Amino acid sequence: MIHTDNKANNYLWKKRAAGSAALLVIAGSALAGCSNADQKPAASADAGSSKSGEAITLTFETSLYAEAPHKKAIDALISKYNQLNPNVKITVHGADYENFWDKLTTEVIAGTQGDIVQVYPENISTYNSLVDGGAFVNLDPYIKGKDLEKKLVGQELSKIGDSYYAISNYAWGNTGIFYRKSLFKKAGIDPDSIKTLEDFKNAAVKLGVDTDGDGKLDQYGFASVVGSHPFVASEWYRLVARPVSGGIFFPDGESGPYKADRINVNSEANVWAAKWWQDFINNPRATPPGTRDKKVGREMFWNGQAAMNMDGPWFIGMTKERDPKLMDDLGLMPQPAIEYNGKTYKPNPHTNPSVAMISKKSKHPEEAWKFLEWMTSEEAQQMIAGSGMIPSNKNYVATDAYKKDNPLAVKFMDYLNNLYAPAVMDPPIPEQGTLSQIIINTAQDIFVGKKDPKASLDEAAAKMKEAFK
Amino acid sequence: MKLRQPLIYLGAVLISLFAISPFVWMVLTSMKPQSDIYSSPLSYFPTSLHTGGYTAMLNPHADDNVNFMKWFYNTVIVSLLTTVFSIVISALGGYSMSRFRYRGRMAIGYLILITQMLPGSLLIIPLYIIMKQYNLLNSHFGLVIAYSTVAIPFCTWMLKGYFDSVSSSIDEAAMVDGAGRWRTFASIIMPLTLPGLVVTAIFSFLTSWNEFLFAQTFLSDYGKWTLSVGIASFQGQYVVNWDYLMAGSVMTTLPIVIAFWALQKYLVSGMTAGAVK
Repeated sequence: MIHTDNKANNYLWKKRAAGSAALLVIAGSALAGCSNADQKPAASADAGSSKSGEAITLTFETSLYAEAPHKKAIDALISKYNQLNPNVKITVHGADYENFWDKLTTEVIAGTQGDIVQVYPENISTYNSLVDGGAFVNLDPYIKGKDLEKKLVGQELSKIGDSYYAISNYAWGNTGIFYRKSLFKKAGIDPDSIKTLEDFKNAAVKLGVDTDGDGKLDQYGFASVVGSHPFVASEWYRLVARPVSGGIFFPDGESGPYKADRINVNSEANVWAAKWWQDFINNPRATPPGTRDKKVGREMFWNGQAAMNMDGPWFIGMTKERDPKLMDDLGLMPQPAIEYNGKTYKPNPHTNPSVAMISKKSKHPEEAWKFLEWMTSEEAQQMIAGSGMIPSNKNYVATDAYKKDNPLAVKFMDYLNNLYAPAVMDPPIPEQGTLSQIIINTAQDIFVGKKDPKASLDEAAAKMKEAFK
Repeated sequence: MKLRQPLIYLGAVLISLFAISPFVWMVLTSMKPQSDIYSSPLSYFPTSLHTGGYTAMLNPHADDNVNFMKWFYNTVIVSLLTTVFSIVISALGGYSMSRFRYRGRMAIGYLILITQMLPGSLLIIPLYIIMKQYNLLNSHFGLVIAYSTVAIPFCTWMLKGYFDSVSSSIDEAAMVDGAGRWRTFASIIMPLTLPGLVVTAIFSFLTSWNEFLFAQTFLSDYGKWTLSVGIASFQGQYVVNWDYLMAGSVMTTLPIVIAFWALQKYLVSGMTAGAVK
């Protein structure tokens, strides 16, 4: 074994090691300089250059960009805005939908979120409350008392308390029942005759048939979600529970005060709704056997194995992309009304608008606001229409040009205005993430695990109350 | 007794088939049209050859939402830099632990090893804060540093084992012939531990090639994504592009398969080199 007692060797070794270390540091610094040249924290881009005419960079953070139709629309918006305002460069940040929310949480806590962050109304309060004093700008001075307050679908949902923290400037979509016209015709069902939940169930059962005569069912009425996907809960409460109970979390349209003693999940109406849905999805003709997520359900609809599918306007574009020929066979009807305890309840699906907030860390909140406001213009809304969702500006959607190009999408607007009760959305509270997870787990227990609805919802209520302690 | 050999082969074949079945399924699915992917009953083989996924990956104009070649380039750069950084630092550290006797030598070694026992999800927040402070978020260099923190401890210990397997008499002989410590290390010991270096380099390369959590958290700009983050984006909120997902996964796996095949002779000798002194 060598021991380093050779002084000359030691000297040379140390000298060369020091030289090598210096070389590494220099190489590292050079690499750092190269790969870091265009990197700045999202919210501190080009600090101090917000004077008119000077180049600024805004970061636009969204989960939608990972989806092809939205990417196309957002790219078009940014390109056009950059043409109109050559000094404003907008870069898109984000992640895919599944991972976006955890990433956003980390960023908001660290203060590195984008100048503009696009979310859904139910997320506004959760993310704003992650840091003391709020992470996002109060937009009251820009919106209150202005035209924007009335002309944007979902603007009223973009509040914390009485103040606006987001602008509903992109697009929205609620849900309806898509159906295959040919399968309805073959079964002798008139879609216009389906008015109530019982009509819907009867139609679904009638549409469950053995088409090839082998003694086994190979076509089903409705492709429901039965699995681990969050839609296992949302299909149930959007279609059945919320209309009759007023809210799955809190009564009176998921309204406040948001206190433990107002938890509504195990109300009589919600228990009835859970039992009804459990019976429905266990009917072998109404829905296919086994578990499936939304993607499989949609495929079954497209393949003709399921005659009905509950979805939003985005499904129109998805169907067109899947096979343009399917468009001739694609019909849309509103969600059915529900008769319960001698009363009829209108559907109240929430409108799911994508809304945008401005970060308090932004060095250019005024420029960020100008871009967001421009997004509500007719010119911008036309580009947003390409995303497959319904643009949020009511005035634009009312134009003949939009109606002509988007006959099915316009039906959603008609349902919203004439058939549906006011939209109900998840409570805008910080505990909402926990409450949502509880309801998803409970829905899995009831609809996948076939557990007793009353016992499961009682357990969910206890857990929800615990979340408020 | 005569049956023993064929049974062993049969067992080996069955286990191999089981091991490669996910990869085979991935390849088959990547060539299936959407209707086959969801068909019921299950269709094992494509009813018609669908190359849309591969076209989208290779042709940047086929789908605006797919930037596969850019993600591939980013991943190669990050993985290569991580490998170079890790090997240089680990070789020096491993050699030091193997050859020099100084106070706290093993304590430092174990301290380095302890960092391997912490899950990535635990390290991510402190790393994120450090990256933010040094303005390294959303940069490939920041990612290289993050990956190096994972690769270096393990590589250092691996290389120490390889250096231990080379007799110190060789160092002495080199120095008797007039080589200094650096020359002995660079010209004599390093070539002798080449198989070990290759194995360590592959480990380091794979660590960064497949990594998702750090890349997804530290990189925000879509143009800077690596393959793992890009491929994950094919799972959208409303739809999953299975053909893209599978074609992208096959193409991400292929370079690694080729690298293993090309370097297998080093791998076999390298994996056992440090086993005995």
